[in-house]
Amino acid sequence: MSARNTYVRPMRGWYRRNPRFMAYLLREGTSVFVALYALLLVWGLTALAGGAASYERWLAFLASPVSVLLHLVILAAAVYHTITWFQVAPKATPPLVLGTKSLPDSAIIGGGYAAAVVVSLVILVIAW
Amino acid sequence: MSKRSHEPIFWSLFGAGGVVAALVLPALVLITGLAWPLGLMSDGALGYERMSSVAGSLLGGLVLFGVIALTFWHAAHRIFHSLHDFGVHRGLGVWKMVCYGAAFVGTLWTAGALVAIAI
Amino acid sequence: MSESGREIEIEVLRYHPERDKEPRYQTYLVPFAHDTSVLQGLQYIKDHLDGTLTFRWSCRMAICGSCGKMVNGEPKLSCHTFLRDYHPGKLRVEPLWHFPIVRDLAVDQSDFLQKLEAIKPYIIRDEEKPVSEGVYRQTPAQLARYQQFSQCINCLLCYAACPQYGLNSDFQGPGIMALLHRYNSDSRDQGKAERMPIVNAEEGVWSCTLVGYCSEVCPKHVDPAAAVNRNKVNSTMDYFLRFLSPRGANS
Repeated sequence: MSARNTYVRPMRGWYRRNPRFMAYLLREGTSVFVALYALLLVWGLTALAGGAASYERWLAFLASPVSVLLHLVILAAAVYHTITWFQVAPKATPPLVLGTKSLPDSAIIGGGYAAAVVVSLVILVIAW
Repeated sequence: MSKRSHEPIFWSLFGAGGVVAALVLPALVLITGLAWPLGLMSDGALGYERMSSVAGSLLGGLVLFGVIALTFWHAAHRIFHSLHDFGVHRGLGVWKMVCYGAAFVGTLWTAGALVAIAI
Repeated sequence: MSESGREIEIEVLRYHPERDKEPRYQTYLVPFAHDTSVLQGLQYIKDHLDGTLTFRWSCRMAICGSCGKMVNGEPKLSCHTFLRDYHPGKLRVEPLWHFPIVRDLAVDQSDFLQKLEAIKPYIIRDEEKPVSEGVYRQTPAQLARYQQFSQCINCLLCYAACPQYGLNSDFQGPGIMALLHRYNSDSRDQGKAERMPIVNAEEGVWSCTLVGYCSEVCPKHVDPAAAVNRNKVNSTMDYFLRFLSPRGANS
Protein backbone atom coordinates (compact mmCIF):
# COMPACT_ATOMS: atom_id res chain seq x y z
CA MET A 1 0.00 0.00 0.00
CA SER A 2 2.94 2.33 0.39
CA ALA A 3 3.17 2.57 -3.39
CA ARG A 4 -0.16 4.35 -3.28
CA ASN A 5 0.87 6.54 -0.36
CA THR A 6 -2.34 5.91 1.53
CA TYR A 7 -2.98 8.05 4.58
CA VAL A 8 -3.71 6.37 7.91
CA ARG A 9 -5.65 8.59 10.27
CA PRO A 10 -4.50 8.46 13.92
CA MET A 11 -6.83 6.97 16.53
CA ARG A 12 -5.88 9.49 19.20
CA GLY A 13 -9.03 10.89 20.80
CA TRP A 14 -11.27 8.51 18.87
CA TYR A 15 -13.80 8.48 21.69
CA ARG A 16 -14.45 12.19 21.26
CA ARG A 17 -15.52 11.78 17.64
CA ASN A 18 -18.99 10.46 18.38
CA PRO A 19 -21.17 10.65 21.52
CA ARG A 20 -21.90 6.95 21.07
CA PHE A 21 -18.25 6.26 21.93
CA MET A 22 -18.41 8.40 25.06
CA ALA A 23 -21.43 6.39 26.18
CA TYR A 24 -19.39 3.23 25.66
CA LEU A 25 -16.52 4.61 27.76
CA LEU A 26 -18.96 5.59 30.48
CA ARG A 27 -20.24 2.04 30.52
CA GLU A 28 -16.76 0.61 30.72
CA GLY A 29 -15.88 3.17 33.38
CA THR A 30 -18.49 1.75 35.73
CA SER A 31 -16.02 -1.08 36.34
CA VAL A 32 -13.74 1.29 38.28
CA PHE A 33 -16.49 2.16 40.74
CA VAL A 34 -17.72 -1.41 40.91
CA ALA A 35 -14.20 -2.48 41.83
CA LEU A 36 -14.03 0.30 44.40
CA TYR A 37 -17.18 -0.98 46.03
CA ALA A 38 -15.88 -4.53 46.13
CA LEU A 39 -12.79 -3.16 47.88
CA LEU A 40 -15.03 -1.39 50.38
CA LEU A 41 -16.83 -4.65 51.08
CA VAL A 42 -13.53 -6.48 51.50
CA TRP A 43 -12.47 -3.78 53.97
CA GLY A 44 -15.72 -4.41 55.82
CA LEU A 45 -15.12 -8.16 55.92
CA THR A 46 -11.55 -7.63 57.07
CA ALA A 47 -12.79 -5.30 59.79
CA LEU A 48 -15.43 -7.86 60.77
CA ALA A 49 -12.78 -10.54 61.05
CA GLY A 50 -10.74 -8.20 63.23
CA GLY A 51 -13.38 -7.97 65.94
CA ALA A 52 -16.11 -5.61 67.11
CA ALA A 53 -13.85 -2.58 67.54
CA SER A 54 -12.41 -2.65 64.01
CA TYR A 55 -15.85 -3.35 62.56
CA GLU A 56 -17.32 -0.34 64.38
CA ARG A 57 -14.63 1.78 62.72
CA TRP A 58 -15.82 0.57 59.30
CA LEU A 59 -19.42 1.31 60.21
CA ALA A 60 -18.34 4.79 61.37
CA PHE A 61 -16.76 5.38 57.98
CA LEU A 62 -20.00 4.34 56.30
CA ALA A 63 -21.79 7.02 58.31
CA SER A 64 -19.37 9.74 57.20
CA PRO A 65 -20.31 12.34 54.53
CA VAL A 66 -17.34 11.20 52.43
CA SER A 67 -18.74 7.70 52.35
CA VAL A 68 -22.27 8.84 51.51
CA LEU A 69 -20.97 10.97 48.66
CA LEU A 70 -18.79 8.16 47.37
CA HIS A 71 -21.74 5.80 47.55
CA LEU A 72 -23.88 8.16 45.49
CA VAL A 73 -21.31 8.05 42.71
CA ILE A 74 -20.95 4.29 43.05
CA LEU A 75 -24.73 3.90 43.03
CA ALA A 76 -24.97 5.81 39.74
CA ALA A 77 -22.24 3.61 38.29
CA ALA A 78 -23.87 0.40 39.58
CA VAL A 79 -27.28 1.33 38.20
CA TYR A 80 -25.79 2.36 34.85
CA HIS A 81 -23.97 -0.97 34.77
CA THR A 82 -27.21 -2.84 35.42
CA ILE A 83 -29.07 -0.95 32.72
CA THR A 84 -26.36 -1.28 30.07
CA TRP A 85 -25.58 -4.88 30.96
CA PHE A 86 -29.04 -6.17 30.20
CA GLN A 87 -29.28 -3.86 27.22
CA VAL A 88 -26.44 -5.72 25.50
CA ALA A 89 -27.21 -9.17 26.96
CA PRO A 90 -29.33 -10.17 23.91
CA LYS A 91 -26.23 -9.83 21.70
CA ALA A 92 -24.55 -12.72 23.47
CA THR A 93 -27.67 -14.85 23.75
CA PRO A 94 -28.11 -17.59 21.16
CA PRO A 95 -31.59 -17.45 19.64
CA LEU A 96 -34.17 -19.32 21.70
CA VAL A 97 -36.80 -20.72 19.39
CA LEU A 98 -40.20 -21.44 20.91
CA GLY A 99 -42.39 -23.09 18.30
CA THR A 100 -42.01 -20.87 15.25
CA LYS A 101 -41.06 -17.61 16.95
CA SER A 102 -37.73 -16.81 18.51
CA LEU A 103 -37.48 -14.93 21.79
CA PRO A 104 -37.25 -11.20 21.01
CA ASP A 105 -34.42 -9.09 22.41
CA SER A 106 -36.90 -7.00 24.36
CA ALA A 107 -37.93 -10.07 26.36
CA ILE A 108 -34.34 -10.68 27.41
CA ILE A 109 -33.81 -7.04 28.30
CA GLY A 110 -37.12 -6.79 30.15
CA GLY A 111 -36.44 -10.06 31.92
CA GLY A 112 -33.11 -8.80 33.07
CA TYR A 113 -34.52 -5.56 34.43
CA ALA A 114 -37.32 -7.46 36.15
CA ALA A 115 -34.80 -9.82 37.74
CA ALA A 116 -32.72 -6.86 38.92
CA VAL A 117 -35.73 -5.26 40.56
CA VAL A 118 -36.86 -8.49 42.23
CA VAL A 119 -33.39 -9.37 43.51
CA SER A 120 -32.91 -5.82 44.80
CA LEU A 121 -36.18 -5.94 46.69
CA VAL A 122 -35.34 -9.35 48.16
CA ILE A 123 -31.96 -8.08 49.35
CA LEU A 124 -33.46 -4.94 50.85
CA VAL A 125 -36.14 -6.91 52.65
CA ILE A 126 -33.70 -9.52 53.99
CA ALA A 127 -31.18 -6.90 55.04
CA TRP A 128 -33.66 -4.62 56.79
CA MET B 1 -3.16 -21.76 12.15
CA SER B 2 -3.81 -18.85 14.52
CA LYS B 3 -3.21 -19.38 18.20
CA ARG B 4 -6.28 -20.15 20.31
CA SER B 5 -6.90 -17.39 22.81
CA HIS B 6 -7.36 -18.09 26.52
CA GLU B 7 -9.88 -15.27 26.77
CA PRO B 8 -12.81 -17.69 27.37
CA ILE B 9 -11.62 -18.17 30.95
CA PHE B 10 -11.55 -14.48 31.75
CA TRP B 11 -14.63 -13.71 29.72
CA SER B 12 -16.66 -16.31 31.58
CA LEU B 13 -15.61 -14.79 34.91
CA PHE B 14 -16.34 -11.34 33.50
CA GLY B 15 -19.78 -12.44 32.41
CA ALA B 16 -20.67 -14.15 35.66
CA GLY B 17 -19.40 -11.16 37.63
CA GLY B 18 -21.31 -8.79 35.40
CA VAL B 19 -24.61 -10.55 35.96
CA VAL B 20 -24.04 -10.79 39.71
CA ALA B 21 -23.00 -7.15 39.96
CA ALA B 22 -25.95 -6.05 37.83
CA LEU B 23 -28.43 -7.87 40.03
CA VAL B 24 -26.95 -7.39 43.48
CA LEU B 25 -24.81 -4.24 43.68
CA PRO B 26 -27.44 -1.49 43.44
CA ALA B 27 -29.29 -2.82 46.50
CA LEU B 28 -26.07 -3.38 48.46
CA VAL B 29 -24.81 0.10 47.63
CA LEU B 30 -28.15 1.51 48.73
CA ILE B 31 -27.82 -0.30 52.03
CA THR B 32 -24.24 0.54 52.94
CA GLY B 33 -24.32 3.97 51.40
CA LEU B 34 -27.67 5.45 52.20
CA ALA B 35 -30.16 3.27 54.02
CA TRP B 36 -27.93 2.39 56.95
CA PRO B 37 -26.11 5.75 57.40
CA LEU B 38 -29.41 7.59 57.24
CA GLY B 39 -30.86 5.31 59.93
CA LEU B 40 -33.51 3.82 57.66
CA MET B 41 -32.76 0.25 58.67
CA SER B 42 -33.71 -1.68 61.76
CA ASP B 43 -31.37 -1.50 64.78
CA GLY B 44 -28.41 -3.78 64.41
CA ALA B 45 -29.22 -4.62 60.80
CA LEU B 46 -25.56 -4.11 59.91
CA GLY B 47 -24.38 -4.67 63.47
CA TYR B 48 -21.40 -6.77 64.52
CA GLU B 49 -23.43 -9.69 65.88
CA ARG B 50 -25.72 -10.02 62.90
CA MET B 51 -23.00 -9.53 60.28
CA SER B 52 -20.67 -11.97 62.04
CA SER B 53 -23.29 -14.69 61.98
CA VAL B 54 -24.27 -13.96 58.36
CA ALA B 55 -20.70 -13.82 57.05
CA GLY B 56 -19.72 -16.73 59.26
CA SER B 57 -22.47 -19.02 58.04
CA LEU B 58 -21.77 -21.35 55.13
CA LEU B 59 -24.48 -19.89 52.89
CA GLY B 60 -23.75 -16.29 53.81
CA GLY B 61 -20.03 -16.78 53.39
CA LEU B 62 -20.42 -18.44 50.00
CA VAL B 63 -22.78 -15.72 48.78
CA LEU B 64 -20.48 -12.92 49.95
CA PHE B 65 -17.47 -14.68 48.45
CA GLY B 66 -19.27 -15.19 45.15
CA VAL B 67 -20.44 -11.59 44.92
CA ILE B 68 -17.13 -9.98 45.87
CA ALA B 69 -14.79 -12.33 44.00
CA LEU B 70 -16.81 -12.34 40.78
CA THR B 71 -17.09 -8.54 40.95
CA PHE B 72 -13.30 -8.33 41.13
CA TRP B 73 -12.88 -10.56 38.08
CA HIS B 74 -15.54 -8.63 36.19
CA ALA B 75 -13.89 -5.27 36.91
CA ALA B 76 -10.36 -6.56 36.23
CA HIS B 77 -11.36 -7.81 32.78
CA ARG B 78 -13.13 -4.60 31.85
CA ILE B 79 -10.38 -2.35 33.17
CA PHE B 80 -7.72 -4.38 31.37
CA HIS B 81 -9.53 -4.13 28.04
CA SER B 82 -10.22 -0.43 28.59
CA LEU B 83 -6.48 0.18 28.77
CA HIS B 84 -6.32 -0.94 25.16
CA ASP B 85 -9.13 1.50 24.33
CA PHE B 86 -7.01 4.30 25.71
CA GLY B 87 -4.06 3.42 23.56
CA VAL B 88 -2.01 1.35 25.99
CA HIS B 89 -0.60 -1.23 23.62
CA ARG B 90 2.90 -1.82 24.85
CA GLY B 91 3.53 -3.94 27.87
CA LEU B 92 0.06 -5.40 27.70
CA GLY B 93 1.40 -8.60 29.24
CA VAL B 94 2.41 -6.69 32.35
CA TRP B 95 -0.95 -4.95 32.62
CA LYS B 96 -2.71 -8.28 32.22
CA MET B 97 -0.73 -9.61 35.18
CA VAL B 98 -1.51 -6.49 37.21
CA CYS B 99 -5.26 -6.50 36.53
CA TYR B 100 -5.97 -10.21 36.84
CA GLY B 101 -3.36 -10.53 39.54
CA ALA B 102 -5.20 -7.93 41.58
CA ALA B 103 -8.44 -9.84 41.09
CA PHE B 104 -6.70 -13.01 42.20
CA VAL B 105 -5.30 -11.32 45.31
CA GLY B 106 -8.73 -9.85 46.04
CA THR B 107 -10.28 -13.27 45.72
CA LEU B 108 -7.79 -14.86 48.10
CA TRP B 109 -8.11 -12.02 50.60
CA THR B 110 -11.89 -12.28 50.59
CA ALA B 111 -11.71 -16.02 51.16
CA GLY B 112 -9.22 -15.48 53.96
CA ALA B 113 -11.35 -12.86 55.68
CA LEU B 114 -14.45 -15.05 55.48
CA VAL B 115 -12.61 -18.06 56.87
CA ALA B 116 -11.30 -15.89 59.71
CA ILE B 117 -14.84 -14.73 60.46
CA ALA B 118 -16.21 -18.26 60.38
CA ILE B 119 -13.65 -19.58 62.81
CA MET C 1 -32.34 20.34 -8.60
CA SER C 2 -32.52 23.93 -7.52
CA GLU C 3 -36.29 24.40 -7.67
CA SER C 4 -36.56 24.72 -3.93
CA GLY C 5 -33.73 27.27 -3.98
CA ARG C 6 -32.09 25.79 -0.87
CA GLU C 7 -28.38 25.33 -0.57
CA ILE C 8 -26.22 23.52 1.94
CA GLU C 9 -22.52 23.79 2.78
CA ILE C 10 -20.75 20.50 2.30
CA GLU C 11 -17.27 20.24 3.76
CA VAL C 12 -15.40 17.39 2.14
CA LEU C 13 -12.12 15.75 3.11
CA ARG C 14 -9.63 16.02 0.28
CA TYR C 15 -6.47 13.99 -0.11
CA HIS C 16 -4.47 13.65 -3.30
CA PRO C 17 -1.39 11.63 -2.42
CA GLU C 18 0.63 13.04 -5.32
CA ARG C 19 0.44 16.53 -3.87
CA ASP C 20 -0.86 16.30 -0.27
CA LYS C 21 1.13 15.22 2.77
CA GLU C 22 -2.06 15.02 4.79
CA PRO C 23 -5.79 15.44 4.28
CA ARG C 24 -7.41 18.88 4.21
CA TYR C 25 -10.98 20.05 3.96
CA GLN C 26 -12.72 21.89 1.16
CA THR C 27 -16.17 23.43 1.36
CA TYR C 28 -18.71 23.60 -1.45
CA LEU C 29 -22.12 25.22 -1.68
CA VAL C 30 -24.57 22.69 -3.06
CA PRO C 31 -28.19 23.26 -4.07
CA PHE C 32 -30.61 20.52 -3.10
CA ALA C 33 -34.22 19.47 -3.26
CA HIS C 34 -36.29 17.44 -0.83
CA ASP C 35 -35.07 14.11 -2.21
CA THR C 36 -31.40 14.93 -2.82
CA SER C 37 -29.09 12.40 -1.24
CA VAL C 38 -25.60 13.08 0.06
CA LEU C 39 -24.33 11.01 -2.89
CA GLN C 40 -26.17 13.28 -5.32
CA GLY C 41 -24.63 16.23 -3.50
CA LEU C 42 -21.17 14.77 -4.09
CA GLN C 43 -22.07 14.09 -7.71
CA TYR C 44 -23.19 17.71 -8.10
CA ILE C 45 -19.81 18.85 -6.76
CA LYS C 46 -17.98 16.58 -9.18
CA ASP C 47 -20.15 17.49 -12.17
CA HIS C 48 -20.39 21.23 -11.64
CA LEU C 49 -17.93 22.52 -9.07
CA ASP C 50 -14.83 20.37 -8.82
CA GLY C 51 -14.20 17.48 -11.15
CA THR C 52 -11.21 16.30 -9.13
CA LEU C 53 -13.35 14.95 -6.26
CA THR C 54 -13.03 11.17 -6.01
CA PHE C 55 -15.59 8.91 -4.37
CA ARG C 56 -17.09 5.45 -4.82
CA TRP C 57 -20.72 4.74 -5.67
CA SER C 58 -22.75 2.42 -7.87
CA CYS C 59 -26.35 1.36 -7.43
CA ARG C 60 -27.75 4.52 -5.77
CA MET C 61 -30.22 2.32 -3.90
CA ALA C 62 -28.49 0.96 -0.79
CA ILE C 63 -27.78 -2.53 -2.07
CA CYS C 64 -24.28 -2.51 -3.59
CA GLY C 65 -22.45 -1.28 -0.51
CA SER C 66 -20.09 1.00 -2.47
CA CYS C 67 -20.98 4.48 -1.23
CA GLY C 68 -20.24 4.33 2.49
CA LYS C 69 -18.98 7.64 3.93
CA MET C 70 -18.72 9.38 7.29
CA VAL C 71 -21.48 11.97 7.41
CA ASN C 72 -21.09 14.32 10.37
CA GLY C 73 -19.21 11.66 12.24
CA GLU C 74 -21.61 8.81 11.56
CA PRO C 75 -21.05 5.98 9.07
CA LYS C 76 -23.77 6.16 6.42
CA LEU C 77 -24.56 5.01 2.91
CA SER C 78 -24.41 8.31 1.06
CA CYS C 79 -27.13 7.25 -1.36
CA HIS C 80 -29.41 6.54 1.57
CA THR C 81 -28.78 9.76 3.51
CA PHE C 82 -30.50 12.99 2.64
CA LEU C 83 -29.27 16.59 2.61
CA ARG C 84 -32.63 17.87 3.84
CA ASP C 85 -31.94 16.25 7.23
CA TYR C 86 -28.78 18.30 7.75
CA HIS C 87 -29.90 21.69 6.47
CA PRO C 88 -29.51 24.43 7.72
CA GLY C 89 -26.46 22.99 9.47
CA LYS C 90 -23.23 22.16 7.75
CA LEU C 91 -22.48 18.76 6.35
CA ARG C 92 -19.07 17.18 6.76
CA VAL C 93 -18.27 14.20 4.56
CA GLU C 94 -15.20 12.08 5.21
CA PRO C 95 -13.97 8.68 4.12
CA LEU C 96 -14.99 5.73 6.30
CA TRP C 97 -12.99 5.72 9.52
CA HIS C 98 -10.43 3.06 10.37
CA PHE C 99 -9.36 2.49 6.77
CA PRO C 100 -6.37 4.06 5.05
CA ILE C 101 -7.36 6.83 2.65
CA VAL C 102 -6.42 6.16 -0.96
CA ARG C 103 -7.74 9.37 -2.45
CA ASP C 104 -10.34 11.89 -1.26
CA LEU C 105 -13.30 9.80 -0.04
CA ALA C 106 -12.06 6.44 -1.30
CA VAL C 107 -10.55 4.05 1.26
CA ASP C 108 -8.30 1.02 0.96
CA GLN C 109 -10.56 -1.99 1.42
CA SER C 110 -7.94 -4.65 0.81
CA ASP C 111 -7.68 -5.67 4.47
CA PHE C 112 -11.38 -6.48 4.54
CA LEU C 113 -11.18 -8.35 1.24
CA GLN C 114 -8.28 -10.47 2.48
CA LYS C 115 -10.15 -11.33 5.65
CA LEU C 116 -13.25 -12.17 3.61
CA GLU C 117 -11.34 -14.68 1.56
CA ALA C 118 -9.81 -16.23 4.67
CA ILE C 119 -13.13 -17.13 6.33
CA LYS C 120 -14.16 -19.27 3.34
CA PRO C 121 -17.45 -17.53 2.64
CA TYR C 122 -19.08 -20.41 0.76
CA ILE C 123 -20.85 -23.65 1.58
CA ILE C 124 -18.27 -26.25 2.56
CA ARG C 125 -19.34 -29.89 2.28
CA ASP C 126 -17.56 -33.05 3.43
CA GLU C 127 -18.89 -34.51 0.22
CA GLU C 128 -20.46 -32.51 -2.56
CA LYS C 129 -24.02 -33.51 -3.36
CA PRO C 130 -24.23 -34.44 -7.05
CA VAL C 131 -26.71 -32.53 -9.17
CA SER C 132 -28.59 -35.76 -9.88
CA GLU C 133 -29.55 -35.97 -6.20
CA GLY C 134 -31.43 -32.72 -6.46
CA VAL C 135 -31.39 -29.51 -4.46
CA TYR C 136 -30.65 -28.93 -0.78
CA ARG C 137 -33.84 -28.43 1.18
CA GLN C 138 -34.25 -26.13 4.14
CA THR C 139 -37.13 -25.51 6.47
CA PRO C 140 -38.12 -21.90 7.24
CA ALA C 141 -36.61 -22.41 10.70
CA GLN C 142 -33.27 -23.46 9.20
CA LEU C 143 -33.36 -20.43 6.92
CA ALA C 144 -34.17 -18.16 9.83
CA ARG C 145 -31.00 -19.23 11.64
CA TYR C 146 -28.75 -17.48 9.12
CA GLN C 147 -30.93 -15.29 6.93
CA GLN C 148 -30.32 -11.93 8.58
CA PHE C 149 -26.54 -12.48 8.45
CA SER C 150 -26.77 -13.20 4.74
CA GLN C 151 -28.07 -9.68 4.12
CA CYS C 152 -24.60 -8.16 4.46
CA ILE C 153 -23.69 -5.98 1.48
CA ASN C 154 -20.03 -5.56 2.50
CA CYS C 155 -20.49 -1.81 2.84
CA LEU C 156 -17.91 -1.54 5.66
CA LEU C 157 -20.02 0.88 7.73
CA CYS C 158 -19.64 -1.49 10.69
CA TYR C 159 -15.86 -1.28 10.39
CA ALA C 160 -16.04 2.49 10.42
CA ALA C 161 -18.16 2.20 13.56
CA CYS C 162 -15.86 -0.24 15.34
CA PRO C 163 -13.16 1.42 17.46
CA GLN C 164 -11.54 -1.95 18.17
CA TYR C 165 -10.90 -2.41 14.46
CA GLY C 166 -9.56 1.12 14.34
CA LEU C 167 -7.21 0.41 17.25
CA ASN C 168 -6.09 -2.94 15.84
CA SER C 169 -6.72 -3.81 12.22
CA ASP C 170 -5.71 -7.41 12.91
CA PHE C 171 -9.16 -7.77 14.46
CA GLN C 172 -11.43 -9.67 12.09
CA GLY C 173 -14.13 -7.10 12.62
CA PRO C 174 -17.92 -7.18 12.72
CA GLY C 175 -18.78 -7.74 9.06
CA ILE C 176 -16.39 -10.65 8.60
CA MET C 177 -17.68 -12.33 11.76
CA ALA C 178 -21.27 -11.85 10.60
CA LEU C 179 -20.43 -13.53 7.28
CA LEU C 180 -18.54 -16.29 9.04
CA HIS C 181 -21.54 -16.82 11.29
CA ARG C 182 -23.82 -16.86 8.24
CA TYR C 183 -22.02 -19.91 6.88
CA ASN C 184 -21.59 -21.67 10.21
CA SER C 185 -25.32 -21.27 10.80
CA ASP C 186 -26.35 -22.60 7.40
CA SER C 187 -27.64 -26.17 7.64
CA ARG C 188 -26.07 -26.98 4.29
CA ASP C 189 -22.60 -26.06 5.51
CA GLN C 190 -20.21 -28.53 7.11
CA GLY C 191 -17.20 -26.29 7.39
CA LYS C 192 -17.55 -24.96 10.95
CA ALA C 193 -14.40 -26.73 12.15
CA GLU C 194 -12.38 -25.00 9.43
CA ARG C 195 -13.60 -21.60 10.52
CA MET C 196 -13.33 -22.01 14.30
CA PRO C 197 -9.58 -21.20 14.52
CA ILE C 198 -10.38 -17.74 13.16
CA VAL C 199 -13.15 -17.34 15.75
CA ASN C 200 -11.04 -18.65 18.64
CA ALA C 201 -8.01 -16.46 18.01
CA GLU C 202 -7.32 -13.27 19.96
CA GLU C 203 -8.04 -11.33 16.77
CA GLY C 204 -11.24 -13.30 16.24
CA VAL C 205 -14.15 -12.65 18.54
CA TRP C 206 -11.93 -11.82 21.50
CA SER C 207 -10.95 -8.36 20.32
CA CYS C 208 -14.58 -7.27 20.51
CA THR C 209 -15.69 -5.32 23.58
CA LEU C 210 -19.33 -5.07 22.54
CA VAL C 211 -19.37 -1.37 21.83
CA GLY C 212 -22.37 -2.37 19.74
CA TYR C 213 -22.23 0.60 17.39
CA CYS C 214 -21.66 -1.72 14.43
CA SER C 215 -25.18 -3.12 14.63
CA GLU C 216 -26.62 0.36 15.02
CA VAL C 217 -25.12 1.62 11.76
CA CYS C 218 -25.74 -1.47 9.64
CA PRO C 219 -28.09 -0.47 6.80
CA LYS C 220 -29.28 -4.05 6.36
CA HIS C 221 -29.93 -4.85 10.03
CA VAL C 222 -27.49 -7.74 9.94
CA ASP C 223 -26.64 -7.29 13.65
CA PRO C 224 -22.93 -8.12 13.46
CA ALA C 225 -22.61 -7.49 17.21
CA ALA C 226 -24.86 -10.48 17.80
CA ALA C 227 -22.85 -12.58 15.36
CA VAL C 228 -19.60 -11.77 17.15
CA ASN C 229 -20.91 -12.17 20.67
CA ARG C 230 -22.85 -15.36 20.09
CA ASN C 231 -19.58 -16.72 18.78
CA LYS C 232 -17.91 -15.72 22.03
CA VAL C 233 -20.28 -18.24 23.60
CA ASN C 234 -19.45 -20.78 20.87
CA SER C 235 -15.76 -20.17 21.30
CA THR C 236 -16.03 -20.53 25.07
CA MET C 237 -17.90 -23.82 24.77
CA ASP C 238 -15.35 -24.96 22.23
CA TYR C 239 -12.56 -24.00 24.63
CA PHE C 240 -13.93 -25.88 27.62
CA LEU C 241 -15.56 -28.83 25.87
CA ARG C 242 -12.93 -29.60 23.24
CA PHE C 243 -11.43 -32.40 25.29
CA LEU C 244 -14.77 -34.21 25.27
CA SER C 245 -15.14 -34.27 21.50
CA PRO C 246 -14.18 -37.58 19.83
CA ARG C 247 -12.44 -35.71 17.07
CA GLY C 248 -10.38 -33.71 19.53
CA ALA C 249 -10.03 -29.95 19.34
CA ASN C 250 -11.94 -28.22 16.57
CA SER C 251 -8.74 -26.50 15.56
